[in-house]
Parts: sequence; C-alpha cells; structure tokens
Amino acid sequence: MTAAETSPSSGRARVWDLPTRLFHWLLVVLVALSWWSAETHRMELHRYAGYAVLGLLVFRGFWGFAGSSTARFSGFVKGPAATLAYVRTLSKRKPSESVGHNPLGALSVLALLAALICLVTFGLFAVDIDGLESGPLSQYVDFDTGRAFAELHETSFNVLLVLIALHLAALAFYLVYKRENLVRPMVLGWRTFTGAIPEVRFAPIWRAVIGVVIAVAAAWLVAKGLRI
Amino acid sequence: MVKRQSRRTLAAAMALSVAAAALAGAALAQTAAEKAVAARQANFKQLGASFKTINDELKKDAPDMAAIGAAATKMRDLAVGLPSWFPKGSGAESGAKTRAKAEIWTDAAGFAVVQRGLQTQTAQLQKLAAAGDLAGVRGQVKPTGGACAACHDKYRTPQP
Repeated sequence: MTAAETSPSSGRARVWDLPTRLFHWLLVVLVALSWWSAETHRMELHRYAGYAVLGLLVFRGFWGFAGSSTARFSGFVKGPAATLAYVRTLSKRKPSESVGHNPLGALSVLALLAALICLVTFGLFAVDIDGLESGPLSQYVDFDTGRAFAELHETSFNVLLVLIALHLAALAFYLVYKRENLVRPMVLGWRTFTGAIPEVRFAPIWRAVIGVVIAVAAAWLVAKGLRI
Repeated sequence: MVKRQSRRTLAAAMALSVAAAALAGAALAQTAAEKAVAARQANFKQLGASFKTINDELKKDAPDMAAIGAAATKMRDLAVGLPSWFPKGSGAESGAKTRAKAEIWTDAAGFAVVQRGLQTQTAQLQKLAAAGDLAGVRGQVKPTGGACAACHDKYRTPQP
C-alpha cells in the first residue's frame, strides 16, 4: 500500500511527507493567530483558530498511525535505552543524520502534542468572566467550572510556550553546535545524508485525504457544540 | 471491643469538629473590606452565570424563553443593586485582594456612567426576554456584553 522510496547513492533523500510538513507550518500559523486573537480580544476569530488547531491535532493523530514511516508514532517513539544511547551521542559536533525525529525530538513531539490537546480541550469548556464569550462545549458545564477551565486553558498555554522555547533552543543547538539544519527539511521535505541513505516508506496521498475528512468532521462537530 | 472502637471514633470526630470550628472561626475573622470584596465578587459571579445561562440557551435549536427571561430579570436586578457593591474603602488600598481600581472612587462620575450603561442594557434585555422576542434578545447580547466590558476595561486592573 505504501510507496517505498529508495535512493541508491548518498546525497539527498526525502524524509518528511507533504501532510506532515503542512501540519507543522499550519500549526505554527494557527498558534500564532490564536495567541494574537486572544490578546486583542477577537474571540470569534480565536474560536475559529481553535477549531482549526483541533482539526490539525485530529489529523496528526490519524497520520501518526496511517502516515509515512517518519510520521508514525511507532516509527519515532523510542524506549529509554534507545533514548539514552542517543543522548550519549549529543555532545559529538557532527550532524546526527536522524531519519525523521530523533529519540529526544520524539519526546518533544509528544509533549507538544499533549500540551496542545490540553490547551484545545480546556478552551472548548472555557467561559470568560462576563459569561459572554465561551467555548462551544461550555454549555455543558456551569459558570464556575467554565471559569476553572479558562484558568487551565491559560496555564496550558504557558506550558506550551515553554515547550516551544525548548523546541527552538534545540533547533539552535543543532544548527550552531552540530552544524545541522533541521528547519530546511521540515520546509522542503528532503535532507542530505553523508552516510547510507535510509529508506522511508511514504503513505499515498489518498490516505491523507481520509485523514483530512475525519479531521474536518471532528472539528465541525465540536464547533457545533456536538449538536448535529 | 466494638464499643471501645466506636467511642474512639466519637472522640476523633469531636476533635475534628473542634478543629474545623477553629478553622472556620479564623476564616470568619474578615475585615469589613474583605467582606465587601467577597460579597461583590459573589454578585458579579451571579451576573456572569446568568449571562452564561442566556448565551447557552441561545446556542440551542429551541432556546427556553422562560430560562432566558428568569436570567435576564436576575441580571437587571443585579445591575440595579450594583452601585451598592462598591462601598468606600473596599479597594485594593484596604489590603483586600481585589482588582477594583481606585478610579472607581476617585472618578465616581465616570463610574456612575458605566453603571447606568449596564442598567440600561440589562433592562432592555429583560424587556425583550419578557416579551418573548428571541431575535431581539439575540441582538441585545452584544450591547449587554459591551456594557460589562466598558467598565472592566476602565475600572478593573488586568489579570496578572
């Protein structure tokens, strides 16, 4: 079902499929938009941005099981032994040449996804202090509970900011210390390898279409307050 | 054996209730300003909860006009009483934990204007709700929220 991509010689090879890259950069834009719209009290826009992030998260969950090998959780989430082994190589001043997420990056991905899931879920139930602006599911909780969710919503955003800072610090570390640009592959999809070119199995595009349909349906349903 | 155990349980329960009473006593030892702040916040919470009730109903396919009417009446009545929620000396200068700005008292005329704004808007909301005018209520939600915000933007310190 999956199209295997192999390159015989050393050089460039595709590592990130288009859906994974689109997910990443749309997420960057939408998190920024969510932040700005909340700071400037554009709550209608804030809700729409939140629904879009929710859709992206649903898609990423689907793609983590049905996507290309570098996007699958089973492909990048490693155990403590492998993670520790990778940590020992961190001090070497040369590119790690990981195919997709390295074991530490995998932890970062899981933490970011967890923070985003909390952020969106709490936002769905949040109520503002006036009882005017609220998430689409706040109608199922009382005012005090909705206020508590609003507090959690804010706390999880602060956690997300810390994780983003850590993410950027790691990119800077790889770029400066290990002379490895991790941003370019996330933009272009491919990177260069000096050693053996690894094999990445890419998922067909129709499967991404299924993921998008599921994501849009889920976001729409939640935005409607689970009333069809 | 059973008797002794139940006696011990009784003694423990008594000790606990004494401790609880002592704690409650400490909690009750509030200053007048703290009492005013607590009452004020409880009132605002009711105002917010009533507005939430209306907004929740408006999200439904068939909003319950009776629930909207009751909540709108409550909001109107609370707004009428609002001027009494800010006795002099219940600001942050009293040491009580409050986000009420000093301008509430130093700019009493300006504060009175925004109070009247809320009273006007909630009275209109109540009138529309009592008349069963669903579209009218829907349209009145924004100006009512605007009346909340008018005061919050000017007379409440932003959340830290």
